[in-house]
Amino acid sequence: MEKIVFNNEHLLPGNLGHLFVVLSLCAALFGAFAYFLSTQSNEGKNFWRNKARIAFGIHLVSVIGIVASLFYIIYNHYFEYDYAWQHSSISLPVHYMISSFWEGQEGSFLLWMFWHAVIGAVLVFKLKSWESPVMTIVLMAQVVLGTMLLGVEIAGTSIGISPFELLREARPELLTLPVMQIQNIPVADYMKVITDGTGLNPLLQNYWMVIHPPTLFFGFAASIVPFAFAVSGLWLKKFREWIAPALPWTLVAVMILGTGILMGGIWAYESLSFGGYWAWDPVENASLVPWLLIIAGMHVMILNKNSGASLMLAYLLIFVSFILVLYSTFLNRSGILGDTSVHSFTDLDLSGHLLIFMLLFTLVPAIVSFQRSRWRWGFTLATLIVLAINLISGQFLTEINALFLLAAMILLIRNLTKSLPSGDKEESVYTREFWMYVGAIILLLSGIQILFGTSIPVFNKIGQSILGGLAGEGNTFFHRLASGTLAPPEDPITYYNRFQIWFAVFVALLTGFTQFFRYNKSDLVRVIGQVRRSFLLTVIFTVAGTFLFKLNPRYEWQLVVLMFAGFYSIFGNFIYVLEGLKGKIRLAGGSIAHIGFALMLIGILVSSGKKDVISVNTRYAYAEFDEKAQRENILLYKDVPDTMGRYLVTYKGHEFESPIHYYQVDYTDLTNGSKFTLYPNAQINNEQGLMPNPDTRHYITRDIFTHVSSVPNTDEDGEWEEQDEKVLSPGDTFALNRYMVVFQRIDTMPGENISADLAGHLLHIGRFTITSPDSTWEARPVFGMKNIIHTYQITSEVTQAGLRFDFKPGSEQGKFIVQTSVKPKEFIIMKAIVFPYINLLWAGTIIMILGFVLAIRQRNKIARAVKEKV
Amino acid sequence: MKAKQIILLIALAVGIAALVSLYSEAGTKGNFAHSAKNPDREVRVKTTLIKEKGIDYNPEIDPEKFVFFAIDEKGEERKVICFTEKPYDFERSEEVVIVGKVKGDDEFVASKVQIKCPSKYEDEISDI
Repeated sequence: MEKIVFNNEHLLPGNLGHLFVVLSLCAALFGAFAYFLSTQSNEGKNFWRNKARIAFGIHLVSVIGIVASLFYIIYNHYFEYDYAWQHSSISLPVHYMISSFWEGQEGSFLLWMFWHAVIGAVLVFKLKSWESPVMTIVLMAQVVLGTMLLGVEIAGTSIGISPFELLREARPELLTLPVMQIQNIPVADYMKVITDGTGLNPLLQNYWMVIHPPTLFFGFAASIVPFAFAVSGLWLKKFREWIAPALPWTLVAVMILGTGILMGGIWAYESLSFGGYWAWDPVENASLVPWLLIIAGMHVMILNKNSGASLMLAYLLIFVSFILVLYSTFLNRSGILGDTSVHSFTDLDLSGHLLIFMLLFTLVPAIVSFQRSRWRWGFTLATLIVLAINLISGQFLTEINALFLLAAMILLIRNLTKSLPSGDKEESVYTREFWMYVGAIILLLSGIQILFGTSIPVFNKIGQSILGGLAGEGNTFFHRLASGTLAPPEDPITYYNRFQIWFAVFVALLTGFTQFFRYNKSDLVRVIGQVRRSFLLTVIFTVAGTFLFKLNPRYEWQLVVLMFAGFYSIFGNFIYVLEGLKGKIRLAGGSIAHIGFALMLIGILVSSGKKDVISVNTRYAYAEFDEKAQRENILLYKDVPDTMGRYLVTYKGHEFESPIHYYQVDYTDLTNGSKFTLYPNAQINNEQGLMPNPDTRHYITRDIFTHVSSVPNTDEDGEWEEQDEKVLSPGDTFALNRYMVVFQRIDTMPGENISADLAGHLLHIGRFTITSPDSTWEARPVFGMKNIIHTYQITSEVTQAGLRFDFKPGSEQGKFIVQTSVKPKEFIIMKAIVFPYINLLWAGTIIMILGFVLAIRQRNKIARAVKEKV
Repeated sequence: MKAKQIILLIALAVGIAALVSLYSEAGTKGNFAHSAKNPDREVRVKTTLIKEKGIDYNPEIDPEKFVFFAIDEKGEERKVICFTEKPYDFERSEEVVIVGKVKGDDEFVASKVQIKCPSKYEDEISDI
């Protein structure tokens, strides 16, 4: 077969990109190996470390090269590349090209890899004695991520998916499109028909979506550092020494990951129509759980550094939190969430790859937990054999891997119990370490509860594959698990909130009083004194808050308790900063973060607990009202004002600015006459239908959040629909299209009065009044008579009501035939929600992040001081 | 018993409570026949819209109610009364996931609906 030379392709950036992928992978592989040797050997330490640094340098440059190549392709609209064709289009503004960059699975792993490389560069400069073991782990992760971008086929199984794959290779069917035959375009010129890409998912075309995923992935990437430190601690038998240098990094991971998650919340609030900033969606949960566990781990690290206690818990929390980061990516990116999430992403064949990544990094801590090198090598060999079996069989072998993992976990805990120095002196309840331990356990529980609900699709898969044969009949939990028919809770808000509210209460209370205790031993009398002072302030504010936020202490007592805990945390930390730290702000990072967190809790409880759907529909009499008691949407006809809560709202019409439809809704506040206009908008897309974007009016104490829920299909409107004829006499009344119409009377007038042409005709002018709840209009259709012959008629139109009237004489004296037509009115179905005091949430967020920044600076200083001492 | 152990015991109890609550609150995927066997529980049913039978929606009367006919994966057909606003482009959808309970012999009352339209990719191919 003759080789076709394709025209108008730009192959250079793709080839360069491929080259960089291979180069970065080789460099990472060599670097990991050299760092490993540097960690293991005594004499060759510096030799191998220097080699490894060179390899890392090459790796870093190559990763930047991959990023640059891919961006160059997207930026120049080279749609001969599948990635650009799938995720971008010519009309896409430059800032959304960044979103195109990571919309696909390959791009998001590239982003992750990029952040690892950036973090690695800082680590190489900063770590000194910890560099070799920590960087071994980081570069191992880079090897796994790098293979995901490889896109080569080895022995029938393809390894990874290259972001530089050409469109004609990924989708060969495009070369044989009928269009090309009709227009007689040779295959070599296929680029003539590929003029534009399919574009970026409209949901992602929002400025928060430009920064939210990169931030989240930065947080994910940063969480490898505490993990790598903990592994290094076991590896080098420096069981506690890793904690001080790892702490600033752990805080960085906590801060960035937290910021990323909250940005996702803001995105949801600004551009999604699920009505809020948090919906307990699996994708949100999947990133929240590792965050909760890193926070718990970070607190146990601090606790251990100061008292020596709970070392094993610190290890386990840090290990598990990183594995959950991988698990979270697996949930989001593997498509396993399917129809259970509003934003589950597409399924590519990288899920098996991700599972292997998870498996490997779960086994690494188990390997280093063996303290004798013979056992270490033995277990490494076992791990490699299990991985090899998976690779050879070409699939993820659930049963074997699950059993092996279980064994590895048991061995890890056994090894840790044996080798970790026990810090337990006398156990006292009156110590700071005890209450920090309690707090960490509560955070862990909170994470586990969320994890359970979120993992249902995974339970289904595992249940089906292990218990499949035992399913039998019935509808028990076991049956549903074994047959893979479990679904996530249909009411996730209740399922999660019922537990999480109490976890939040206890965590907030603990952040309020734990700091008054000291490590090892505390003066109980002093503690009680300080606690009492913050308690008094809390009671006053809780009572005031209950009135201000209009909480009902009888039915909303849970919210009152949570508010109490929140205020307690604020004042406890405030007094601690003033008295315990003597007002030294640079030491107060932790306390400030606590205050921010507590303020967030209060903001959440008020804005969500007291959120008020004002578009509640009370007007219509429903036949089946009891089947669904709550109607949360309101129908607004164009130009017909309607009341909604304290507002009079009018839908003023719709405008289309490609690709967005804007719906203008005027609000008038009936309590004070102030007016404002909102433009809830939507994109209408072939695949996803109507994608509404809310528009929100912000006030200091509340937000009014409005979005359209449904609109009539735009191509349908404009046609007049004739109604059945009615035979009526003056004085009759009838209903038409939610209006009341009264046929008042008929006036007659000689035609000459109008014009000479009408001489001899007698004009009959019908007088109809049309009444709606808010206005009255009049219609005057006319017919003419010459002697007894009906000569002509004139239609009368009432534009505002969308009605037309015609009438003519009936067969009997005094009866008239009335013909009406109805124009379907432009309307929107809209939902409006008031979120009170949501600004407390945003303020709390900012304060918490500020607290993290202070804490990172302080911990960094301490880590440096420790290093100098050593 | 040491204080830490008490805490761990309480934690274990709470963890078990969380599992139990999952046990009682997890939803079910199934078909109309499942739903008919468990009339008290909401079931998530994957169905296909029967376009020929039409869709009844009168927003002036009730913007949060529409009625259509659907057939589940086992081939059973039911009239579905859905108490939500009609999703845009519902007419065009193929796969419809409904969450609700059966009513009588031939109806199903849904409180949630999710639709899947023909994919973007296929559309693009046919556009070219």
